[in-house]
Amino acid sequence: MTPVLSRASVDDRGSRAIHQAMLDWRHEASTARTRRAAAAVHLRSIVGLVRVTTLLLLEETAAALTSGWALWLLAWIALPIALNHATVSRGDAHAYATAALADYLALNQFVPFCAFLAVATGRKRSTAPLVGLIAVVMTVQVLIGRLGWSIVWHYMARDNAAQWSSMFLGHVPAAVPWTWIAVGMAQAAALILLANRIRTDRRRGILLPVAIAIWLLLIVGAMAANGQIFYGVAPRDPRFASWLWWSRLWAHSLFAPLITIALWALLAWRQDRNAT
Amino acid sequence: MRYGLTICKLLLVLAKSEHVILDLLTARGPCYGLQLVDESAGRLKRGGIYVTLGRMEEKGFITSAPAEGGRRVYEPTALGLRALFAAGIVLGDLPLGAKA
Repeated sequence: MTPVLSRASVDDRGSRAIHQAMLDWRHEASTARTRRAAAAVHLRSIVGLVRVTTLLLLEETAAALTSGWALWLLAWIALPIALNHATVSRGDAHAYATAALADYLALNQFVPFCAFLAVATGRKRSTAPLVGLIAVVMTVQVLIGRLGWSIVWHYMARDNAAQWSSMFLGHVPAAVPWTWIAVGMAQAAALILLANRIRTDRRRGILLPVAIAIWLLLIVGAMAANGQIFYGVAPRDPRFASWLWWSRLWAHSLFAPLITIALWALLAWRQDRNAT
Repeated sequence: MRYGLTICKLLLVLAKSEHVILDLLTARGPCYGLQLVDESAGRLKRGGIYVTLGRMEEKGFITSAPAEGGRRVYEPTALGLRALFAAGIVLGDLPLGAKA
């Protein structure tokens, strides 16, 4: 864990900004004359501190990205959503709702993954505020996974009870289990550990197009296998639709990260072997 | 021509909030971060002030020193004053004959 921990530091400028904001908070609180004024100071300072931290995280993360990995990040989010909608017939409300749900899942799955990937492989690897980012991502994951999903499930089941229950009941849990979240976090930790071992830009440059090509093949393959690409509409048989939905989810969120990790592991292993 | 290019470069690196901070520091002398927020009439936010100040320190526009209770006091550098002066000329805030 030492290589990860040594990289998991907020840079000097960031820590100084947070430190100064906290000193201001203490100073203002000590000079407040009434309880109400002190409460207002606390509230203002907390909001200010949250804004400073968010700003720093965004700024440092943006500075850590390389253009290649930024493209990868966008592709991970935009392409599945575009594919979902391009292959759905507009008149079919059922298929359209499925695509909307897949969008939600794509965002939920990909945003944290891409953030990890981009920061772990970016330019400023030694100063990226990984600890803060991990904390934020974990919180967002848990909130979206535990709360967001339940809300989506509730409304979709209420509005389209017959359709949704025939399609998802028995296949998808109403709340995302903690094990899924743990697996997601473990995946990200594995990425960071492995990314730390790939040190040359040339090897990282090779990884990107290969991973994208495999990822595209998997998605297109999964969709073609289900007949969606050839017929241009979502199948009406609920069992088939359920299979289609699962294959999409797996192709998007599971296979590609796993293959990326495997490739990374292979490159790290080859690098070590060449070094010895 | 070269001088013009330098001014353009300075303007490119001088964001609006940085301009406000330099303006305030020049007018009022050394200030705390929170003081700048209070005196900016809403143009600076407490959530972003230290990020901006840190960025400006990195660019060499301002310098800071620890004061009472560890809080830092900020003041403009010669480069910061020149950047403000150049921005003033281009934006029409300063007469061309004025000196920084």
